[in-house]
Amino acid sequence: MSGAFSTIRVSAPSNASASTFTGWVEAGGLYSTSEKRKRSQGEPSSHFPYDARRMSETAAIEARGLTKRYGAVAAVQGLDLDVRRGAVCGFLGPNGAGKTTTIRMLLGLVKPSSGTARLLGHAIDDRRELCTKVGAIIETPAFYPFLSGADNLRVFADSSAAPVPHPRLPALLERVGLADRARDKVGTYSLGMKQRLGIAAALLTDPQLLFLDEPTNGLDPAGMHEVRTLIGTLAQEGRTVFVSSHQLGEVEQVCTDIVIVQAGVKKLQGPVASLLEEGRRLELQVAPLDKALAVLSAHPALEARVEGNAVWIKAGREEVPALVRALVGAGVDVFGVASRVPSLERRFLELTGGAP
Amino acid sequence: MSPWLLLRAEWLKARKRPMHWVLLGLLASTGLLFTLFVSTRAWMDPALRERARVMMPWPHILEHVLHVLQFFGRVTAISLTASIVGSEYGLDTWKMLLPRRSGRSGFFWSKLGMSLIAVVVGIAVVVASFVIPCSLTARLLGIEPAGGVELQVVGGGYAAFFLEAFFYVAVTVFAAVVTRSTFGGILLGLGVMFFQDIVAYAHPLIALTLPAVHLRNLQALLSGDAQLLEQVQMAFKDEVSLGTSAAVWLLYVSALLVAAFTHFRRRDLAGGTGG
Repeated sequence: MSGAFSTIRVSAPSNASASTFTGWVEAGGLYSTSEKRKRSQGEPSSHFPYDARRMSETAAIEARGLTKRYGAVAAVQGLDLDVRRGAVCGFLGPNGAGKTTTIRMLLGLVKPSSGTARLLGHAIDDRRELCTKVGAIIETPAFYPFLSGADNLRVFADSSAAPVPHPRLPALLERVGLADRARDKVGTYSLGMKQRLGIAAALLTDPQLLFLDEPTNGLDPAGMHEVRTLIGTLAQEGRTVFVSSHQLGEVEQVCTDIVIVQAGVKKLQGPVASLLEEGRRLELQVAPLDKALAVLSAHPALEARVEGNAVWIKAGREEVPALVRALVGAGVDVFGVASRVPSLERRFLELTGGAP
Repeated sequence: MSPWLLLRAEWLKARKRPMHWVLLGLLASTGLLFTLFVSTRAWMDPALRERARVMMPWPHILEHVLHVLQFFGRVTAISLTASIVGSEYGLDTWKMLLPRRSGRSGFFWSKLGMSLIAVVVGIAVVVASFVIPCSLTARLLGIEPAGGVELQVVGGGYAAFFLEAFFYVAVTVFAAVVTRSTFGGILLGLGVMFFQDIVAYAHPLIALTLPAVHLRNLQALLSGDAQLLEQVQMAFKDEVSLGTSAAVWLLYVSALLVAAFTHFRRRDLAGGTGG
């Protein structure tokens, strides 16, 4: 089991202590005790740097009870979303979890069966306001293969509600590293080049909010790095980026916030740092293991389990001295105690109970 | 400005699509082949020279082109329209286009506009492919025109053909939107064309109800084609006015376009297989 938990240390946001992150915005609205108190008293949230009561004015994405049914099947079921402006939010879930359907609903391509949603403070059916403020790549970007990359961008520019001056297009192609291939037919592009052209198309109207559905799909490691860097740059420019991805490592590197959905239902939402902090465990190097486990089993809250040659428990730093005393008192040798934060992949699997 | 930009985008797509050049090339080749065939026969066989006199020289050739358009023109109008509308579904490019505008109507009307422009371009290509080589060849071979042709009457014939092509454009737009494919648009467009030609003359009531005979009636009345008018009146078992046939045309075209537009505007574009 070694390696299941990485030793990456994730620092909590500067405005919140680690102890604040004891709960999550889960389905059903579960918040930490301190969060609940703050929200009920109208104090600024520890999770977000703004007042939660003013969410509808300041949130980039806000959804309440968003549902899409195809006959008896609910592709998305009662989804609540709150994504703050300026965040890079990872949207995770197994295949068929409803990620793309959610994005299509938010972009007005699919009508919700019920529920409401707002983007940048505008209702999602207020397309007049949103169409120039929101850019998107949905699944693999689609193009006209018989047109060049530059011509494809011209078509999308002319199809936009706000005029996009054609002289801007070479700069966009340059930005995504396609200037040299701008005159080549898109039919000759690799998947990675199409992804980059898709990002250029999404940036045509200089949007404040970007939806990127699997943006690194099909890219080689260098291409993935380029796109991750680009997403970082976009966020630095003040844009909100909503990234749907299967690449958990990528999400961990790029995203500040995360939403996990499964079978059309939201499992969890919040900052990546606190999600990982929630999964923090103590690794006890002890012997004999069975005797140690017997001692620790007396405290069910510790959720003690043996993995490899160590016992893992859920406990805070302040509990370590008492635990060590109890173990030593029971004749257990303690060789080491270490605090570990799990990888995002590990946390994802814990929360969804399945493969990413 | 915005509708013109949409139309410009459609023009760029239509202009650079290889399939459209193949179709136009096929259309143009009919004129060239016709010229080659008729001029060779006329040169070799003096008896056919008289026939060539009423076909090849300007402006007689315009009348002949109209007959060619009756078949090839309709098929080409259906194919071009199906390609212009249906390819967005086939390529899945609607997902890249629709979020860019507040509504879908602009896309729909620009597609219809581009389809009609394609019909006009198609007519122009066919006319040019016949008129230019035929006129030049007739002059080279010394074939003088026999009898006169009223350009106004020929113009009426072309106007009637445009109305007919417009009807098939509407059918194909509807079919491509409903089936979400180029193939569906072509199949249903051609299906309606052949079905009408077979069924419409079976009974006067069917002739009056379906647009096919009304389209022929418009053709006969606008081009002053007495022979065609006789056939049409036999099908109707009566005389039907230009206004009545025009109203039937308008009714069908409007109904098809409104149905297609409503369907296009309301329908989800779920697509894809992602999560």
